[in-house]
Amino acid sequence: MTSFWNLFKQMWLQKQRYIYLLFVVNIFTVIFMTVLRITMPSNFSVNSGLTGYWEDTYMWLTIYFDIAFCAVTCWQNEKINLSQSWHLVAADERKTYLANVSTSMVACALFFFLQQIINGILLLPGYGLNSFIQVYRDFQLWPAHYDLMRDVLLHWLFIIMIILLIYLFVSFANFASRMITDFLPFKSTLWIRLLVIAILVVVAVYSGLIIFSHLETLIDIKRMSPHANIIWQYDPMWLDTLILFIVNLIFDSIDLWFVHSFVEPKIANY
Amino acid sequence: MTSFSALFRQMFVQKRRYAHLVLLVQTFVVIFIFLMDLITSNNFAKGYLVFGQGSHPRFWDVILALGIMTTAIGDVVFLGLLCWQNEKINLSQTWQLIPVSSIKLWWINIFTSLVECAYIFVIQVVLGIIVFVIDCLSYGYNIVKIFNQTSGFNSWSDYAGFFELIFWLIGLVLIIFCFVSFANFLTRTITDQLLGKNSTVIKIFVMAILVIVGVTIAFRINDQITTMYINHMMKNRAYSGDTFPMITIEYFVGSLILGIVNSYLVQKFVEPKIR
Repeated sequence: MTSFWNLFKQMWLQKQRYIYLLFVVNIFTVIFMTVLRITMPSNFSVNSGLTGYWEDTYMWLTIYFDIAFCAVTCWQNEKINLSQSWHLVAADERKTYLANVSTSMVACALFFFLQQIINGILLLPGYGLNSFIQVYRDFQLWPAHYDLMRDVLLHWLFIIMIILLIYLFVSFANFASRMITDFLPFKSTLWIRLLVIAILVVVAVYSGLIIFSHLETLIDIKRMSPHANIIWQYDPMWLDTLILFIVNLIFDSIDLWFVHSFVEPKIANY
Repeated sequence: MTSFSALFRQMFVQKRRYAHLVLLVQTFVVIFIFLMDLITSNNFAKGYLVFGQGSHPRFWDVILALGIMTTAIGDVVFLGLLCWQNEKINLSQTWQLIPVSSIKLWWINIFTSLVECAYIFVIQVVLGIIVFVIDCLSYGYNIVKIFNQTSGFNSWSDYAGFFELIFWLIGLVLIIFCFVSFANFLTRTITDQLLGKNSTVIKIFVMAILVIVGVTIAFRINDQITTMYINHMMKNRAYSGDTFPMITIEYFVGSLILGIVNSYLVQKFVEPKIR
């Protein structure tokens, strides 16, 4: 049996390239935007210089690149999940799957820290050396004036849970659509798979919205009622994190079950 | 030489499946949300109701509102699918084997996608009108009266805004198709010239840089032209904040330029893939 650690290391090698790829693109974008800003200052906001410009812009740039990176890792995950070479490895399929998801999580973390270093350098003229902490503060990932336990740790947990949910759900949609089209009596085309995936996504998004809106109403009613001890937040972070955690557990067990009993790798090798 | 109409028909049939896919999913979404709303006594389409605002809405009103909500999202998804199909045809060896010039093939490709967009939109609008009529009847309103009230038709100049919107949509769709093709072709041209193995990583890298540079430059040019346009309007004392016609013209000029560049690239450099 191949150990978890070995699998992890090999997958890491494959995914590492994409971290550096997107990081280089990120650095390029920052340099390009800076150069454009210097050569062609915008007519609409003259008084804010380069420092102010980056203070305004760096957060959405970071988030866009994080979304792009998340999509790339999803694609890599599914590539590994369906690759015959990876299935030939002498290890339990469930172990391979877990190694796959955990490498992607670590890759996300590394990518985020690399980005934050660049952001810290960008904010250096405005904040001094404090900038390396300020970049976390702006994302509410470092205590500034809020409670450490209640806000900061829960924010970290929340982000981890959200990324995990994306990975698990993408795997789930992929596996389920493949299984359903395998069982269909006629020839399964890409068209049908797309249909199945679309329906799964619609159902999941709708149920998510409904569940969260009902929860909010529930909390509001509790808060309003005179006998209840006061719940101190409008939309408590701990509850969202908890729900995400439970949903993740459910999807994780379903995915592991699918991987163990149903999923066939594709013939095409990568 | 294969005739225009034969090529057009073949491409149209290939892409039409995806229009049907999107329409099917949209129908599913409307029915699903409608049923779930009935069960959970939710009101998902609250802000989009046409007649039942503020009161308890009737079934058809909810369906109409859900249809309006999902049309925009469905069209965006369909646009994405069409971009993918365009590039698939542009790089497919089967299509390139047809005895017709690559430039012509590319232009037919873009043109079919445009017609495809019209196809899905017309179906959506016709279905919408049917549901609207039933909705009116279910409330007991006079359809002709409502049409007259809302359209306010006196002369054809009342429809200027409507035609502007249609032209704007056509321009937007055209420039998106042209830019996606442009990014794809230029990426392939550049990676073909590079030494060493062209892995996916390098292709993604080149494409990302091209897109970032292209989008940023487009924004900058747009800024400059908007400023020029507004200054010009101020000078002629005809100032209005309406930059809509200008944007439409920008889209068309942009797609024309990108189209010429694409034709050149397609003729000189682009090789279809083996698969």
